[in-house]
Formats: sequence, structure tokens, C-alpha cells
Amino acid sequence: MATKIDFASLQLEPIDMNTYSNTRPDLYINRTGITFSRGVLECLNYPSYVQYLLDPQNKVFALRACKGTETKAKAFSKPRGEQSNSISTNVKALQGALTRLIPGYSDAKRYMIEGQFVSADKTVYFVLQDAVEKTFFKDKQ
Amino acid sequence: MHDWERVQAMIDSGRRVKKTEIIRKKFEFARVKSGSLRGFYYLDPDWSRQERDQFFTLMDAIINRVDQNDE
Repeated sequence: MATKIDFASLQLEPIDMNTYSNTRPDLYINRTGITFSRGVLECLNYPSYVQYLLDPQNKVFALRACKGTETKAKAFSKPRGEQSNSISTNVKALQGALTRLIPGYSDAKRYMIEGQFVSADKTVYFVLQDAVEKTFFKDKQ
Repeated sequence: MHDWERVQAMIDSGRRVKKTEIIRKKFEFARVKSGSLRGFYYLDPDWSRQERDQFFTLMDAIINRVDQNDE
């Protein structure tokens, strides 16, 4: 016999799947551009503006959440409720700079780099030497 | 040819010399000055192709220097 529930007395709250999703802060690089996963947006709390930073010597790329008035701040994400997808860009300055630092980079491959979030700096760091080769979706089929 | 004519010829030829030296614009690539990100270069998606290529040249020089030190 089914349990009887008084639905009128329940205080239901919508579950925000973004909050509970277990996405990692990953960066994907391929021949056409780069993609920041939802995990990156979660870590940085859907920042309106970011700074793209690069240390060529140590082969580290950093994405820092910042105010719109800071040096080289660029528009990035919509607010949490409005940003439904990951963020991709095909800006050659970014794609070209990052691919130069991936050991043995090939245009025919796709690379994934797991980011490390440092909350004190509001920054996700990506060590480009740790790039992992991934197959394209079409190649899997 | 008289001296006076030679002088005139020299003056004329001097006038026709064009300044062909191309002044190339040098870009300064900004870096973070303080904090834990000190020394990182700012990447700017709005760079022109010329600025972008100059940054790539700078990067290549840094990468080569690091590789040579590692050997």
C-alpha cells in the first residue's frame, strides 16, 4: 500500500543542478579554439570579467576573475541562472599562445587540461605540460 | 663640369633622397606586477595580428631559452 503524503503541506525547493554538479574545472583546446568547462565557471562563480594570464617560462595559463575596471579585463560569463553552457572562444591570441606551450602539439588532436582552483587568488591555473590527448567526438563514432 | 655645377648636382641628388627607413611600432606586453601571479603576461583577445605575432615571437624566445637551460 502506497504511503499517503499530504502534498499541500510539503515545502519543496527547486534543486539547482549547477550547484550539485560534479564538474571539474577543465580546459579543452583544439584546432579551432578553446573551451572552459562548467566547472571553471562554478569555481570562479560565473564571473562577468576575467583576466587571461600566461607564464611562458613555467608553461602555466591562468584565468582570474576580476572587476571590469582592472587591467585587460575581458567580458566572460553571464550570471549563474542565465549561463547555460560552457564557454568557448576562437580567439587566435589565446589558442595560438596555449598550443605553443603544449608538448608535441598537433592540429589533428584535442587536448584536455585539468585546472587547479585557488580561491584566495580567485584563479584557476592550468599547467599546459599536463595536457592530455583526447579523441574528437566524431572519431569515437 | 664646373665646380658650381657639380655642387648643384650634389644638392639636387640630396634633395631626392627619400627616407626609406620603416619605423616599426614596438609593443610593450604588460605583466602582473604584484601578488601570486607576478610576472604573468596579460593575454589580450583584442590584439591586432601584428601584436599577436610579436607576442608569439617573444614566447618562442622564452621557450627556447628555457629549453637551452634544461639541456
